[in-house]
Amino acid sequence: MDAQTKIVAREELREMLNSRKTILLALFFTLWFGLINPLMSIGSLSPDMITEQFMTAQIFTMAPLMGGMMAYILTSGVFQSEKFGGIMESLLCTPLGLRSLWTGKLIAVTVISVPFAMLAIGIYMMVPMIFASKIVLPSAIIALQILLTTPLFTLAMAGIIGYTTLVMDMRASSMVSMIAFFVMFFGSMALGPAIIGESAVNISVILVSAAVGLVAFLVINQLASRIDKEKVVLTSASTIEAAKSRR
Amino acid sequence: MESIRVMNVSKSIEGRQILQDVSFSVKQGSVFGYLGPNGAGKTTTLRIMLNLLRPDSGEVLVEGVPLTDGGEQMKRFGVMLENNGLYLNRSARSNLSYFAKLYGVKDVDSAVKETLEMVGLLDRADEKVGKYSKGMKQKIGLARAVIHQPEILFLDEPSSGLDPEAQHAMRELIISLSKKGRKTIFINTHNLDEVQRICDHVGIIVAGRIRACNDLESLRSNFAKPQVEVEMEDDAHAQKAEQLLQPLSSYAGTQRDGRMLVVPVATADSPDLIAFLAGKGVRIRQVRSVDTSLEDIYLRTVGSTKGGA
Repeated sequence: MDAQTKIVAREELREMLNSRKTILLALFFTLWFGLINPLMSIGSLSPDMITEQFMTAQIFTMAPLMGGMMAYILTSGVFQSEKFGGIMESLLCTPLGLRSLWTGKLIAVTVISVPFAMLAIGIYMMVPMIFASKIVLPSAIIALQILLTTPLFTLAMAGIIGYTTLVMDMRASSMVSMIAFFVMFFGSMALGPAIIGESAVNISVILVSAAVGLVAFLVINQLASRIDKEKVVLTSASTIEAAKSRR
Repeated sequence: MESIRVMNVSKSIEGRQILQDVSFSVKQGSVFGYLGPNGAGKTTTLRIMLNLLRPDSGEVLVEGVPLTDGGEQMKRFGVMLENNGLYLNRSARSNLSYFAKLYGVKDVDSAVKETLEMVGLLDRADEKVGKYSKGMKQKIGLARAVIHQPEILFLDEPSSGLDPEAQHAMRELIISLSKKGRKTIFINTHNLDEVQRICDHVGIIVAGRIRACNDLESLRSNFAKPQVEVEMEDDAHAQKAEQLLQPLSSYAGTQRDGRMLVVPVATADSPDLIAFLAGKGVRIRQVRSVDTSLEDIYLRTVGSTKGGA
């Protein structure tokens, strides 16, 4: 990691931690995904359905989703406010490269998003246990899903949103980010349990899942290396002009 | 010595030709005012000079070296864009220290303190920039642009939207920067008064083409049509003088306002005119030469382009 990336990551991290709005937003969605979501679906379950396999399958699906969702919520603000507010153009007039800017912000978003995602997963696990009045833990290998796949999905989602924000105007980037989010969300919800089944979560499946996150990140990382300043400037200028004309 | 040379730069954006064969140079240590009406291509030129946009053809040389995407070249530039580009939810100190770090300033704290002192905002350093007035934000924008002691300063509409007092303060800051640091300063503006007070060189761009570019004095002498303002004894003498001068082609364009006449002349001292009027019995109270203002030059340049278009 180069010095410029470290500077950006540190600044963003400090900024996010000092922002009450960011922390409250992250806490709200942690509780929403961790608490409200399982509470809404638990009515259709009976306590004897809460088994280790059930918990494993649930967490297997939810862990990367939580990371991706948290990244979706936190990343847009980090990139959009700078681009829309004209700060990014000033940043691009410094020795800071676009690559360092993108990477630094990604690191900061991931460092903040992953703990909140993990907290949401923890709460998510607690709800069925409280409902069944028994301690039912998922299989130990699910720790790998939480520790490996969740950060990779977080990075990939943050990367996609960061990339689209840099190269597109606000409307287009919001749309593409939303599509990416829904693809991830519905893809995980539909394909996860359907393909593997509750009893089939094993190390290979977890590694495949992590590989999906890794490939998504590597693809967006490759695309990000090709961003040029002109694209960023022209799309931000059009955004500012569009905003002015709407006033 | 040339600090920046813009050579035959053309640029079109989304099919619209913004710049056509733009060439000019900025001398080291000079304060260059880049003038033009809205939409003339000023900001596009600036963005190309800052390597934010690529020219379709032509190039920009910084002290003879082509502009590259390298960070080292950008360290020589200080930039204040029109919209400030400040983090409104951060303090002035935080805004400055972030950019100081990006520029690789060694003693960030001292540099921030010195720069805040220079713009007179040290005592408000820890307030959020969002609470600042427009003038204060502009000052912080300028402070951020010079925090790393750049050799070349680019200012985009530095006094745009400021009240007269804040405009004056901003001008004084720019003048002191140019005098103390002998920096090359490039100012993108349509504020003629600002250019007249600050700049020693001027470029005028209209519809994507450079229409005039020189030092202010040369521009004045190239564009100036010497004029004298003649104050007559009373309105009757002024009227008589007007009637005498109007048929004469050498004084064509004479204008009267009460007992004042503004008369175009061959030379500013105009002895022939005075002798002629005095010989016809016109009583003259005083005569003084009229300087051609930058506004005249600008309007003539812009106007002739519009007329020719």
